[in-house]
Amino acid sequence: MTGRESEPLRRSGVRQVVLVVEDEPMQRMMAVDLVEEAGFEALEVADATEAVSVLEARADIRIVVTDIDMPRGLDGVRLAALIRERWPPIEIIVISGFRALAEVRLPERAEYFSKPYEPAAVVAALRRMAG
Amino acid sequence: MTPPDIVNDAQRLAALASYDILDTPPEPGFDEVVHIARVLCDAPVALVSLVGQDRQWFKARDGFAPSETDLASSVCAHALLEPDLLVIGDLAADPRTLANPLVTGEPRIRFYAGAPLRTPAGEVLGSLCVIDVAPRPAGLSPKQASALRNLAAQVMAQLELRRALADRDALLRQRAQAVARREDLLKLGDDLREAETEKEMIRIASRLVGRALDASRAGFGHLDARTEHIDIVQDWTREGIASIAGRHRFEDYGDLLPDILRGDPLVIHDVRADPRTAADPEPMLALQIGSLVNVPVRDRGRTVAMLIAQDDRPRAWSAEELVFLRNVADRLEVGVGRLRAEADQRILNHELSHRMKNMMAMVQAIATQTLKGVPDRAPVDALLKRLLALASAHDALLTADWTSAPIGATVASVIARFGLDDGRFAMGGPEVQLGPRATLSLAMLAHELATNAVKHGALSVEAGKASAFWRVEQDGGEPELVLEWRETGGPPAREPAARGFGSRLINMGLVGSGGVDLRFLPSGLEGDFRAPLHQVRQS
Repeated sequence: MTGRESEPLRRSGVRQVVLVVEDEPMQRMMAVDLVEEAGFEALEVADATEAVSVLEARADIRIVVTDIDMPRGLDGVRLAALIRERWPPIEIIVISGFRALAEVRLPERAEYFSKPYEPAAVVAALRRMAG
Repeated sequence: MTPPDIVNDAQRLAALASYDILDTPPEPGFDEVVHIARVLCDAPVALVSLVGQDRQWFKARDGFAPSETDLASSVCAHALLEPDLLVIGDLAADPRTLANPLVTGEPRIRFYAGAPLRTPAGEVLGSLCVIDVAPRPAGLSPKQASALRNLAAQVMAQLELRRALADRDALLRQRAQAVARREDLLKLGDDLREAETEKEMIRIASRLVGRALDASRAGFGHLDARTEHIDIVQDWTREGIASIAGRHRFEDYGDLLPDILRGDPLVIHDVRADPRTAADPEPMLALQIGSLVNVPVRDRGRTVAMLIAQDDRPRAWSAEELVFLRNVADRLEVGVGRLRAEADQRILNHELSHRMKNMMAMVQAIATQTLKGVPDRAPVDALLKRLLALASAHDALLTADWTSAPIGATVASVIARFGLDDGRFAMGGPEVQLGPRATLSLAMLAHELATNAVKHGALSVEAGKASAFWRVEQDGGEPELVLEWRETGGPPAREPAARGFGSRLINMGLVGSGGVDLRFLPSGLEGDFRAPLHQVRQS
């Protein structure tokens, strides 16, 4: 875990928390910047297994942004399904280099973006989900 | 008295069989001969008698009712031994015939004269004979004897002619069949090229085999990795014959495996007689299989599949039929191979597209991070947006495996990134497939035009609208693709003072080599972009 969760940024109610799941460090960096510039607190992990332990440890995560294809453990689609089942209130954004949305089965309320994504469009989705 | 041994001579019987005459209907040529013989010899009965293994059968008869008799009643059987006419003046007195039932009983015949029916090779098939119910100690007159010989020669000539005609008909039938088979194979090749699934290919090939060979069942199956079972994917069956699609174990049907493993065609003419199945033909017979051909399809030295043709009766599969089946199997193999290659290609393209998108995402991430501290955000933003336009073009190209993209999908995917409200942008035109380079340059062009429209042009105000319509123009010369960009309802268009990268991209046009007419009008920007259609398609 590249853990930002250890930093004292957890001012609950002030900034909503977004968990970024992405195995590729540079793409993760860009996603974290995007999330923070949009006014959220960002947590970052490199795979679905770490994501699950963070989700189990913290109750304040509002949105999960996940890549689909990750080398170890669950892929993003199964992570999304698991989140919908175990933590129904959490919103989900799925990002993938797969060809089309038609090839991916997403849980309810999840939003899908194809790589490379339009940052403004993802920010708009984050804000919409945060309400 | 028993008939002479010559009756059972194999060569003689084979010669008789080669004329294919026994049990055929009466024919006038033969009927006329027996009539003439009877009149000339002044006899109540005349016959064309052919002596088979266990009977004598009459191709023509005058004055005699039965169409055949057993050999005990045959006088003709003795004629087989004679170099010339056999004349018996009194049948009741001759040791060879005195016990003959036709002599001792009705119709009590007493006189016989027969001329042998001798083939050019010297085999005697029977005789042309005349019979009387009164003895004739003097036999035939020399004229009658001579006439009877000549008439027997006429019968042989007719038999020869008949056989020649049958051979010719068979040859013509074979040729017609060969032509039909060749046409069938050509059509099969065409049909298989059209087919999109293996099942469809098997259906087409099975139906063709079943109909062309008048088989009872035809199908195709894959062998399992251990070559113990065959999984018949699909089969064609004649009416009243059940499908055998599904898994079958070779061992259950006899000793079939050695041929299959060697890769030889498995040909069984009669499952009851063939040594590989005769021990227990029941499993075959239960599936209405009387005879069969299995043609192997090999891959790297192993039999992986088989084309199957079966008949519900014993059947002598001809060499020509086996060649036909081999040809069908080869074509089916090529067709299925093409499908597999296409599937592999699709997987490869999918993987390629996936990597391409990830690569674009990496470039995006690197550019974003590298330029993070740059205070002037406009060029950074322009760079990142252009990268996304490039990604859109790749998406459009991907739908046709990187060879071409439809113009509509290309424009739409670029414009979609601007998130315009309904009704603000319109587009349309005939479907044109763009080459890979034209797809990229059109995507960049559309991106720059839309970016400018959103920043300074019609799409910068709420009431403004923009459109892109295209058509193919052909004024006598080469056809041209013409794309018209129109903006209305916004501020007056002004020509940019400095020529930046954006306006240079626009001026490169549809294929990167100009053909651009821009008009900066008070009503808004109008741009006409032209390029030869063949360039747009190929480049």
